[in-house]
Amino acid sequence: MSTPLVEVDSLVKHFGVRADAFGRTSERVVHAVDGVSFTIGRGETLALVGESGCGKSTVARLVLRLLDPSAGTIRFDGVDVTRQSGKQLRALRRRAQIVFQDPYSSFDPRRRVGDSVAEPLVVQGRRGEASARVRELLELVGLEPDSAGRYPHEFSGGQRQRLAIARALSVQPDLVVLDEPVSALDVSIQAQVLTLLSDLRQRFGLSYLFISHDLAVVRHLADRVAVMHLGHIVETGPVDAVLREPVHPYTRALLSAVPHPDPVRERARERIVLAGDPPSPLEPPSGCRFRTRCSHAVDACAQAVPPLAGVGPEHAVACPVVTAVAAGA
Amino acid sequence: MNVPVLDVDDLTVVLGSGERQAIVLDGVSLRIDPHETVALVGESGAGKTMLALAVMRLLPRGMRVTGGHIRLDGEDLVGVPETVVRAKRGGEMAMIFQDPQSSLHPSFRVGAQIAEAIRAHDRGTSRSEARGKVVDLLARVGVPDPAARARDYPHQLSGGTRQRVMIAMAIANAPRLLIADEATTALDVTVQAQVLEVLRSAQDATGAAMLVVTHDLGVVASVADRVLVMYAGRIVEAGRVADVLAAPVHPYTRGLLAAVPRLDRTAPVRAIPGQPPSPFTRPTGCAFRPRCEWADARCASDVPALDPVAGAGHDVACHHAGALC
Repeated sequence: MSTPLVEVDSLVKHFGVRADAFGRTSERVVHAVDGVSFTIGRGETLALVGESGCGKSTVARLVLRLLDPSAGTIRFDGVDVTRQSGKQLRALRRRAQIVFQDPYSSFDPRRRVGDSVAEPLVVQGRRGEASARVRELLELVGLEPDSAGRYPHEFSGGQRQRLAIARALSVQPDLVVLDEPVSALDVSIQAQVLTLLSDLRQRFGLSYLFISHDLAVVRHLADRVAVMHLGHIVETGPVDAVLREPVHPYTRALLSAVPHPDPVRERARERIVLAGDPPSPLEPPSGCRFRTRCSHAVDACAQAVPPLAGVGPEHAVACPVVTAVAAGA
Repeated sequence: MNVPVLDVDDLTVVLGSGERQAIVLDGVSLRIDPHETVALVGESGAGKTMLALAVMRLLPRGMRVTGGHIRLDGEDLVGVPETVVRAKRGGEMAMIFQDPQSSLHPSFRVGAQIAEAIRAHDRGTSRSEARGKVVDLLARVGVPDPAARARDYPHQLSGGTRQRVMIAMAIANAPRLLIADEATTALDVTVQAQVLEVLRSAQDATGAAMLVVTHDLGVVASVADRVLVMYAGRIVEAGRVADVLAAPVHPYTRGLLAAVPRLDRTAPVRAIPGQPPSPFTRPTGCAFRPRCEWADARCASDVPALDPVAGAGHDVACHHAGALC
């Protein structure tokens, strides 16, 4: 088997927090990402799902080296890129690009969109081919090639997200990180962008790291999914297995909370309503971080962080309590 | 027949004046009975929020009602003095907004803000009585340790708890009409599930009529009895949730449902081509026609009326509704 495009091993990111209004840094630390491992194959889409504050966007930024990890390693195409800098880092950036959630703040309002789309090429020292390439890219994402001279405010949210995709593809990357790329869009426009993303993946053999809180969107774009909860991956596997037969109590609660547009199914939906607020990443509970809201929790859950253990083909779950029940049944 | 709590009749709202005038709401009608929940769905710019704001008489500057009626328990609010509407706002009718962060005052304790809402409508309530009511209200919306939370400032609370505070404030005076404008959109799904539950039980307790403004068809199926689909300032389809979501007729409603990614299906989503028009560039006739595969000459010339073509209580505004049913 060939090496995966991305291999992330035991990734950790802790942030020091300025605890008071005077900017004094205290001892307090946010455990944003705490020992996350995964791989992304060539042409594969891995979705990282979870709720606000679970660390999914931090993972995305670590993979692109927009943030420096506190511990762990990131290998890209077999090469350890965890500590790379300068020229080597620029080479990584050619191969790994990102599309952000907010199509309004990710373009400079005073620059023509063609210049923004060409910027990665310019950074990579390929200014000469930029203008021809921009026209090609705009056409590729379904925009008028002549619109390169226009400004961001002349485009709708969906069109701007197409521009952001064009910009990411300008340097022909292998990996595109998509950080909630359709969350800010209306459904009819969201469907257009999702369709575009899946066409482009097929055409160029792209790998996606897809960050989303919307499980239904994930179902439509991802091959595999990793469910994050407060800095840990609690369940991972093929998208069908995880979303149809979730095992971890958190994944089950998350899925059961999604209201269904079909009224018959909606009425039949099993609802697991979690009590209280999620714990703070400043003081995460010991052991399993979901245990304070979990109906299956036993004393042992407080002792150690449960490791991911296989429950099916490529399907792993970090909950010894439910996996023991499943194995016994 | 019963008098509905809210009866909006042929409401027209206009933005600007003279040359730069645009119609934001074009002859919109809706009724909501006590205990009933009606959802208003549609995409950004369809006019959902403007309809809610028009009812509350909170329309932004430059927008005004130019025709129609808004009756609350039979009393027409269009054209009555501001003092009359102010007395009802927060009392007989209350609204919960999408963003609790910007709807709460950052430098007052949340308990004091809820107490203010109570005392604004009943000067007879003493401060200590109001304090007691605040704690009861917070307990009712499921805030743990309500007495302590009442002394918190908004920034000390999570998004879900802030939204519960907004709901507590909205139901403080047992409103007849409760409007929730994308009240759970900014929340995580697990928190959204909690907040929807709170809204439902608050409505059960007060018997309020509820108008839920949302773009999420899952939320519609979860909370509403009836649904109104808006497109470009008009209602294009209306009916019981079970009828409209299971057997949509209007091409826009159908397109919307086909565009929503679903957990139970892997079939590719189908996008609606093009994008919704702005109020300034609305096409003649049916506003959806540039994006509609059924569009013909009649769609360009005549605005289709909202008629009960799909059975009793299921109205559709489409010239081709007969063929689509």
